[in-house]
Amino acid sequence: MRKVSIICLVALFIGVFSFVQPVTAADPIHLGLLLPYTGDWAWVGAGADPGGELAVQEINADKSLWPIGRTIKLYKGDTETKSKPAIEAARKLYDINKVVGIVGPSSASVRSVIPLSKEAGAVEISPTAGTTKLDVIGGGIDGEHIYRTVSSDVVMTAGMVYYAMKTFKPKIAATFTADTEGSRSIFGGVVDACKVVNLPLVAKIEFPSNQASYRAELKKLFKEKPPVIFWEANPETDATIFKQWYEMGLGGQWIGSDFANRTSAKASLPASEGAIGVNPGVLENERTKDWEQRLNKISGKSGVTPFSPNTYDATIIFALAIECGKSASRNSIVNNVRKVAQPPGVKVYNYADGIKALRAGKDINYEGIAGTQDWNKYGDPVTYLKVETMTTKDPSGMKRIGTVTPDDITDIIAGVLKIRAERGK
Amino acid sequence: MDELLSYGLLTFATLALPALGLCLAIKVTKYFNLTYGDIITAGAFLTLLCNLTFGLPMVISLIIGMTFTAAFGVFLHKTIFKPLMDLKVNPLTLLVVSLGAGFVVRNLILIGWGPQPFQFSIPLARAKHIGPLFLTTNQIFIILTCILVAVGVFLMLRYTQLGRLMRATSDNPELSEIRGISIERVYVYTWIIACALAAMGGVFMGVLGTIKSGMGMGVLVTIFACLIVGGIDNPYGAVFGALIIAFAMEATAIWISPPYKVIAAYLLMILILLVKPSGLLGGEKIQWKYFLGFLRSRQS
Repeated sequence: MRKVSIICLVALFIGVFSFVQPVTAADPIHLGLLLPYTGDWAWVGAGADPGGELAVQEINADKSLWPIGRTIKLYKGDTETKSKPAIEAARKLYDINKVVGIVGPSSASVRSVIPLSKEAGAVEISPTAGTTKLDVIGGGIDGEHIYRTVSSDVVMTAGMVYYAMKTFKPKIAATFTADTEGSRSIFGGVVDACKVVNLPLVAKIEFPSNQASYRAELKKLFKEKPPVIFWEANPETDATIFKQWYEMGLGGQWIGSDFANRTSAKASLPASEGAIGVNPGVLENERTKDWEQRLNKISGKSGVTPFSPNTYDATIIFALAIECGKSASRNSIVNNVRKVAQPPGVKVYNYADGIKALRAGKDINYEGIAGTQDWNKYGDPVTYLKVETMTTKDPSGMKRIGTVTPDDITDIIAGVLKIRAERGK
Repeated sequence: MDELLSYGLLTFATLALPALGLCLAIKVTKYFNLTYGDIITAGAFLTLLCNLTFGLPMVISLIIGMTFTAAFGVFLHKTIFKPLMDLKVNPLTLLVVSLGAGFVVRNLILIGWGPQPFQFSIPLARAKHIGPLFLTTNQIFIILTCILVAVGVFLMLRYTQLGRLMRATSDNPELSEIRGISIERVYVYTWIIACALAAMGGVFMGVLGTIKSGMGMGVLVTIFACLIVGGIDNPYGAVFGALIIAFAMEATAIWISPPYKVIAAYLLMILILLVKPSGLLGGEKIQWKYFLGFLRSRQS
């Protein structure tokens, strides 16, 4: 009987301790990377992913700089550019992979995942969701800890309209946008910004993506010969639109959003020669050139892939927040994510300096590759905007031709927010 | 009206040949093969490989692309569908298997080429007014080729030995086999023709728009709409259905609103199913007997 009791006790002891495993220094911190790797916006996932990979590689490179002495391990989820798969992937990341937070997703599914993050008590930092639907939610308000490392579409569309007015001085314009949530967000921003600058829109065409023909849509768009067209579509649709626009000899200056990028240029050139993209941009300096080289080793491609700087910044902010709170718990990240990203702390320009400053007991303000990442009360940053044109003369397909600073567009943004506030009443 | 004619003809040129190919495949093999959408994509990508990677001229690339796509279709038939047909599985099983096979093909293309869109290496051209049409030289070539190939297939079905064998097999496979026709050989020839037409359709879509991994699957439902409108068991009906659907879509885009053009195709399909389920040029309700037979066997 005594033998049996001893055996039972030993079994119980082993059983209990096999389930309760203490977290050791060797255990990596699990971080989710939730992106559209497939579906209509697969190019967003493909572009953003190397930014996350590079950040993790740099965080894990030096043992002495590991956040709270642990490495970071990325767990990836595919939103398929749809809400339902995004929810399923987020659920898996939180419940099975036990991630401490999520970098992602995109505009197509970001709002669907917020309730899950709220339920999990975790922070979600989207590197790609410019949707204006996030303009008045997030930032920790109502327990919704959604932040962004990419500007709201209000900022981008203000930049698009500002650049059009400054450079082309049009009397009329038109919009040409896909019927997706992301593109509707751009459309709404352009419409309001045009109201602020008194630019009449003579055509507002919305269309389904990935169609074989857009000739009828283009014919309607150019009925009143607008000299400027504000547009947004995915690269596949862009390729078809520009090819058919060129064939029809319709003219006009195209001004696009962050969707007018190298992926789109690669798909649509040479027909899209001269089309302009105004979008959140990396400043051109030695720091970003060096970063670009490091990114290229990871991505195996030249140039900055779309949204990779934003994904990089989001991942770095997570690591710094973990170190700041001396804990990898979700609650600790919730409490510290703002502290590391914005004033009044000392400005740091890379992860290593950030960790060292935190260990020296200083408050920090991480200045990202994609922008300063100083969030407003809703967790949204205002970044610089770069102006690029699609051209076959540059191997990447895009050539930078200008910059729009936050100061340039302050009045337009204020006007748009005023219109929206009045509409809200 | 001029623009409707031009745009309608272009959309028709992208739909007609795949619709004709799928119609032949369904008519002869007697099951719905959902891999067909991805065979369209495979045809476009194989042609792209020749044109872009190996730098071959477009017409030669198209011929090679069609050849390899036909071979690929026969490979799929021999390795996946024939063994299942030999086991006499019901058509619904074949339908589900074809969906799975299509998924594999699509993802293999995605792994090989990635998610980004591609374009053939063809010089850009401005459209010109030719009578009531406003088209580029390439577009005229595509429309004419589409019509000629469709007519060629009709003539083949009507006047050649292969056409007679295909018609006989589709009418009564058991009797054809008793009369000494090699059903399997007819299936293989049917797949060769259907896949070559799919490849040609995929290339036309690519020339007029772009090439992307999901392009064929995206257009497959519209192709089914063409078959249902025209008559799923009638090759003439398939081409006629493509004409109706293409013009309905473009008319909707021009006169109502562009986002409704896809809806117009499906509404037309539903309307035809309600009014004349066999399609405008279809025979009796022959096309549904496979599914009805399957349902009856389940009930019994």
